[in-house]
Amino acid sequence: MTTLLLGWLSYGTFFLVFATVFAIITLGLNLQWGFTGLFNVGVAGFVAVGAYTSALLTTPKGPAWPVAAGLVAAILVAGLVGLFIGAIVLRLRRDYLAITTFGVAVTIQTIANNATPLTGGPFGVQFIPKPMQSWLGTGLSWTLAYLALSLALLVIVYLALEKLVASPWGRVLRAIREDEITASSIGKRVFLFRLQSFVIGAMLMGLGGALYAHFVGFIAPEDFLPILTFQPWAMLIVGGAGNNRGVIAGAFLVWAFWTVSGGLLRAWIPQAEQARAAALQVVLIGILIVAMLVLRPLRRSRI
Amino acid sequence: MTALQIDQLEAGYEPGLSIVRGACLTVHHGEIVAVIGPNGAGKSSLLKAVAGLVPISRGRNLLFGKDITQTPAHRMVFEGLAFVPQTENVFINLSVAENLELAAAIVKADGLEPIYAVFPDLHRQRANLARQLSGGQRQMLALARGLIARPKLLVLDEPSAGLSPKMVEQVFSKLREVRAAGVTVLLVEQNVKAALALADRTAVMLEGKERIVAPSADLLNDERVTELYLGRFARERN
Amino acid sequence: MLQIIADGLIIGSVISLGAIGLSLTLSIVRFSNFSHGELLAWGAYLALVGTTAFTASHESLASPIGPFSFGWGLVISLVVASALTALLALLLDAILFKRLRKQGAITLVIASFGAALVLRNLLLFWQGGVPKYYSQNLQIAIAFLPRRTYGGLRFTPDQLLVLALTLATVTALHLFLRYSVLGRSMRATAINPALAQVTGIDPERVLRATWLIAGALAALAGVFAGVTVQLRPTMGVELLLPLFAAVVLGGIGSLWGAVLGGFIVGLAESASVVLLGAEYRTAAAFIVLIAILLLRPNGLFGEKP
Repeated sequence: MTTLLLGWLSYGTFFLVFATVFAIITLGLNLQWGFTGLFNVGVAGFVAVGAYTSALLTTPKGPAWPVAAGLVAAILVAGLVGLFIGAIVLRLRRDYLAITTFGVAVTIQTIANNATPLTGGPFGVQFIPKPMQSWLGTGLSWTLAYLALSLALLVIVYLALEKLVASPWGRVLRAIREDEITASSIGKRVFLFRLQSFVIGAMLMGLGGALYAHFVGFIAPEDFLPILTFQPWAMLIVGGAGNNRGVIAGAFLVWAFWTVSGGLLRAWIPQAEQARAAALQVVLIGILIVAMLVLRPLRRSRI
Repeated sequence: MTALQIDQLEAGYEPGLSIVRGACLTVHHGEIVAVIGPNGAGKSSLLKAVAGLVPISRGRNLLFGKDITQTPAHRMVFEGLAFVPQTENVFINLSVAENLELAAAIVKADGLEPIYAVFPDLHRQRANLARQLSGGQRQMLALARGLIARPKLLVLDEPSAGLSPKMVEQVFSKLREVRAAGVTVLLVEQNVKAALALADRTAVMLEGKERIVAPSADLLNDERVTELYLGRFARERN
Repeated sequence: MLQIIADGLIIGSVISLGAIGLSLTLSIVRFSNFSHGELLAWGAYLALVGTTAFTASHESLASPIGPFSFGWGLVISLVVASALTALLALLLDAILFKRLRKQGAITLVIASFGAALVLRNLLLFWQGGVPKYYSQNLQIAIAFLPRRTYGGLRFTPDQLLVLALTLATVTALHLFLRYSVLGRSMRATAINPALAQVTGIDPERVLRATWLIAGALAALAGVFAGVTVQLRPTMGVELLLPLFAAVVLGGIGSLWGAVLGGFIVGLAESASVVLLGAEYRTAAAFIVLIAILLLRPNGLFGEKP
């Protein structure tokens, strides 16, 4: 009986950690889109950057930095990529940001898949150190501790974002979003504000990626496919763009839906056809999210 | 005969936010009617609503007796209504000839000779891109494009905008020619003097509705026109 | 070295045809359609289904025509697949994009991203992940220049046909856009939709034509990719970045820009195969994209500022 309970608890904890990671990523996307109106169609790329940066810097075969340093590095490098892209594209048409961020995600996945000496190629990076492992071992207590860590980070991120949005900086951002022409009498600042927002959002995505890497312990290029861009957007759509609490709820909801539907399909479809089951899952959820877009327009926050 | 009958029109881009609020106007066949008024009065929106570009929530528009309230914008030329917008009123990447040929092809007009006869300057410039034309020439092209469909009613949004006084006179002189050929003209104008000089009757529009409609001659010295433009301040000063 | 150019032209043919449709969609329907790549994939696979069916019923349709690797079965299937893909594009608009038009560009982009995921995974579910081919017939390359002249210049008959058909299609499309009323209406709508309407042009008719043309071109590109390389369910998403790069490079709304952009991206890809290795092909498209955004964001022949 206790084994069953422990099994459920373990499964539940796994679920919650993933949901928390997604929540952090989606909060980053919400800052970029919900508050600033920027189209990021390459979320997977920024997450990958964070994951690989932290993984490669902390792996015992490499520099073997402490995990905390790896997380910080992940945030910074993802931010840098955001800075690079933002600087080039943010002054141009909005479509161009969508196209370029998509390009970033594709290119990063290509590099990850092929720069085998650096990234491990298709096999990715293994033996990514798990923090606190030395005192807690690898069992349920570690998983719960990691959940606590992730949730703590989520709370910190949430509070920081709420404060940011309510601050003078946030007010300028809102002004830009409501009436760009008047706001641009502040001059070049419009571009700078957008850039700052984009970079911070990217940093959060990097943090999410790193948290994922240190939880699972191994990453591979196929973890960062376009579906990883679609999932945060789905969470944003479900939760309601612009509202940070809604976004967190959306993340948990969509992830719950994703895991349950995946589980159901795996149960119904025979073992041999698992790949097709996975494809079918994406089809069904994709249709659902797209239908939601039609029925429930994507509106930005009115605050 | 009434060319255009606008009845209690309410129109606006957003469903709850009407810019045109209960406007009424009658334009008689063969007239030139001008609509003037301060910025934000809804003059442009009124014209665009008539032309089918701004959604109408209430009211009716009758064109020579036919209800065109629900007619989509692209059908208007076939009903006899040609609209010349204020800005971006020519296809700038196409040549003069291409602009006119396209319009002619859509309405299956006989050819461009008639329009070139009325606009000899355009004939000379027919190979030039619209982008290369001066402001006045572009306005002429926009006007010519509207006339290709041989409309019964020509609707223009601020045809004098951005033009030198000399060009304004040329454009307005063309409009008189057009009227002489039997076309009814409805226009919105910021240039009050020029509008009053051109139009038979003028409507003054304020906050989405026409407030005064009278023969232009009567309005030339009408205090109310000044008042509506400048507000009570002007009256107090006097 | 010359072979890089030759290979680049073939890759470029596929990209050009896809990019034209994408550019038309972007300039007339006014959003970046991330599901465009899947139209290429579906076009290719629909043609495969047709070819397989024809081959099963009429063996003669499978036998290669002349020096080419495929038979009349593929040719007929190509025509049918183009029509079906054109209708697929129209259907997607009717059930999805049309309803979202009032909501603004980002909704359309995300919707198209979702539609791409659905289409791609449907294809995966239906066809599986293993690469497929239109025919097993091998092709012998014809040497136009011997190897001692800058490495030589070789084309297979299939490749030459692809190149020729691409140029023919582009020319036909140019004539259509330049001289037909519908074509000129499409260009006018791209330049100024409101003015096009008051000129008497029906916007829905123009949109429908745009989707049909984009779909048909995509199918053609997909089949060409299948003939010259292979069919994979992921071929659509893999081509998407090169397609966008070509469109941006050429300038949104320009037919010849998309064509030139397509060939330049193709050349960049084939050059990168030599310089960086075949695995980094997509990176080449990204580099081209960044370069043009830095140097000349309007593209080479951008019609709109």
